[in-house]
Amino acid sequence: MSLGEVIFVVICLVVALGALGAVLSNSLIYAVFFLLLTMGGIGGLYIYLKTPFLAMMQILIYLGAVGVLLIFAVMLAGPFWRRPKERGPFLKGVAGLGVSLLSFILFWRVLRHHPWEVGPQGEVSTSRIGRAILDRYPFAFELISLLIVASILGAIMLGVLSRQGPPKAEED
Amino acid sequence: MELFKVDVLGRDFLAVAQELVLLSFALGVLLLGVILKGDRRRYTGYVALFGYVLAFLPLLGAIGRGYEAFSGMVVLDPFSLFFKVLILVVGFLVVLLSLDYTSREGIAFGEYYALVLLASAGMMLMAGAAHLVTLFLGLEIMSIAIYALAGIMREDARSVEAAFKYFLLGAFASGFLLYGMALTYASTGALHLREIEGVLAQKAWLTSFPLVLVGLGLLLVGFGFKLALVPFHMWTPDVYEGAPTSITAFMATGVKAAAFAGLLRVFFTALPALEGHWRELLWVLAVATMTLGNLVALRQEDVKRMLAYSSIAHAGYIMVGFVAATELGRAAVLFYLFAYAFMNIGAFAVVALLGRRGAPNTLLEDYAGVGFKHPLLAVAMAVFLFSLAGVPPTAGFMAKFYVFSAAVKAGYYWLAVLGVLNSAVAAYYYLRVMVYMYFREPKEGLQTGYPSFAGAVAILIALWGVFQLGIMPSDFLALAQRSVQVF
Repeated sequence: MSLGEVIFVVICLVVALGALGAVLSNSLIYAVFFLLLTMGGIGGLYIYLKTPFLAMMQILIYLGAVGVLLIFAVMLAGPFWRRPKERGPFLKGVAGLGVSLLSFILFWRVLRHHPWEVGPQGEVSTSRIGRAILDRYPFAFELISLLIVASILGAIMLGVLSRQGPPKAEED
Repeated sequence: MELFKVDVLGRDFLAVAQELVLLSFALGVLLLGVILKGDRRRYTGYVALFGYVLAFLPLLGAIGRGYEAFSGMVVLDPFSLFFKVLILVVGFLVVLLSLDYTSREGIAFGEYYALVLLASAGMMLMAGAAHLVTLFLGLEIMSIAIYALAGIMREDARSVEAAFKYFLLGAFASGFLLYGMALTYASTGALHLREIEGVLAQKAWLTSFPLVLVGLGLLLVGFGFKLALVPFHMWTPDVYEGAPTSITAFMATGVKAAAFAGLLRVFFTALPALEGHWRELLWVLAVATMTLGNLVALRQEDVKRMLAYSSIAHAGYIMVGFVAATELGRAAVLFYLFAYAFMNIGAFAVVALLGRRGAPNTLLEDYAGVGFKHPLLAVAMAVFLFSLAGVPPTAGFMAKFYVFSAAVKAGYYWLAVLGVLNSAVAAYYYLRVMVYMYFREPKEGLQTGYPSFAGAVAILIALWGVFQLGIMPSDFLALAQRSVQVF
C-alpha cells in the first residue's frame, strides 16, 4: 500500500467513525460534533481527489456555516431532561445498518450501471472556477448578490425589533 | 472558453429591463422607508405602485421579439412576456390591496414593499429563465422574500408560525429541486434548457442516462411544493391562514404563476423527450390535487383556509391543461393562471377589507349577514366565488372550459370527467359562503369592515378582469396561444 492509499483509508475511517458516532451517541451535542468530524473527513476526501475548491467549500459551508447552525439549534432546543426519550443504541444500530445497506446497494448499482460522462481532463482549480464565474456566468453571480439582499432584508425584518415601537390600539 | 459579452443598453438589457425597473424601485422604496418619518412612510406604497406601472414600459420595445440574452441565461420571448405581464398585474393589485391593509395592521412599510418588489423580480426571472441556474436563483429570490413577508406580522403567533413552516419546508423543497437539477446535469452535462433537450434528443436516453429520470422526479417534487400539489401541499392551509391576507393573495397567484412558468419551461423546452414518463405522473398528481383540495375545503370553517384548499384544487385543474400538453392545453394553462389571478386576488381583497386590526374576521360565522351590512363588498365576493366555482359568464367558467376541452381533445376523457365532477363538488363550499352572507342573521356586536379606497380600486380591477375574460375570452386565448408557440 502506498502512502496515498494509507491516507485514503485513514480518511475513510474518520468519516465512518464520525457517522457512527453521530448516529449512536446519546447526547445531541456529541452527535453534532461527530457529524462535523464526518463533514471534515469528506473535505479530506475532496483534497485526495485533487479538488481543492470543493474541499474548501465543504469546510467553509459544512464545518463553518452548517456546524454553527446546528449548534445554535441544539442550544435553542431546551435542556436535555425535557427532551423526549431517545431510542436505545440497539434500535439505532439496526436503523443505521438498514439505511447504510440500502444506500450502499443504491450507490453500488448506480456506479455499476450508470455511464458517467467524463468531463474534459485537467485540474478543476479555484482560479478556473473564478474565471468561469466572471467570464461566463456573471449574470448568475449578480443574481446571487440579489438573493443575498433579499435574505438580509428578510432576516432584519424578522429578527430586529420593530422601529415603530409597540403597536397602538386601533382608534374607532 | 466562451467569453461573456454584454451589449450595454441593448438587447441584453432589454431582456431584463422590467426586472431592473422593479429592483431599482425595491432599493428606492427601502431607502425612502428610512428617510420618511412616522405616518408618511405609507407613501412608499404609492412609490412601489408607480414602479409596477413603470415596469410595463419596456414591453413596448420587447413585444414580438425572441432571443436569448446574457450568454443564454435569460430568454425574451412571447412566453416570458406573457408571464411578466401577469406578474406585474398581480404585483400591482397586491400593492393596491396592501396600501390600507398595511396601515391597519401596523406593518413596517418600506421593507414590506421592497420585499414585494423583489419577489416580483424573482418571479419574472423564473418566467424568463433559459438556464437552470437562472431558474433556481429566480425561485430563491422569490421564495426568500415571500418567507419574510409571510411572517411580517410579528405580534401574531400564526403569522410567525406560517413563516417558519413555509421557510423550513421551502428550504427542503429547494434542496429537492437543486438535487433534481444536479442529476439532470450529471446525466446530460448541460444546464442550458435547449442544450439539455438537444442531448436527450440525440441518444437513447433511457439506456445512456437513467439518472435523468430520478432528476425529473426530484424536479417535480421541488415544483410541486411551490405549486402546492398533493401530496406536497401540507404547508398550504397553515401558511395561507397565518400570512397577512395581502401576501396570501400574492402567494396563491404570483408564486403559483411563476412556478407554473418554470415548470412549463423545464418540461416542454428541456425534457420533451421524457414526455411519456411525466404525463402519467402528472395525470395522477392532477387528480389527487383536485380531489383532495375540494374534499377538504368542504369542511373548512375559516374562509381563508377554505380559499387555501380551493387554491390547491385550482392548481389541480391547471395541471389538467398541462397533462393534455397540446398547444391548446398549454394556452389553457396560461389563460387559467390569468383568470385565477383576478378572481383569487379579488376574493382575498374582500376578505382583507372585512377584517379589522386584531380581528381578522375570517370565520364563516363572521360572514353572517355581510350581504346587508356591506352590500357592495358582498356582491363583489359573490362574483369572485361564482367565478372560482366556474359559473358563466365569469373568467373561471371560460378557464375551466378551455382546460377540460383541451383534455378531451387530447383523449384524456377520464381526466376531464373527474375535473367536471370536482367542480360540481366545489360549488358547494363556494355557495356556502354566499348562504352565510345573505341568509344568516349577523352576529351581535361583531364589527366588520375597514374602509379602503385603494382596496376598492383593486376589487374593481379584479371585477373587470373576471368579466372581461369571461365574456370576451377569444382575443386573450389567441394571445395565450401565440405565447406558447415558443415550445
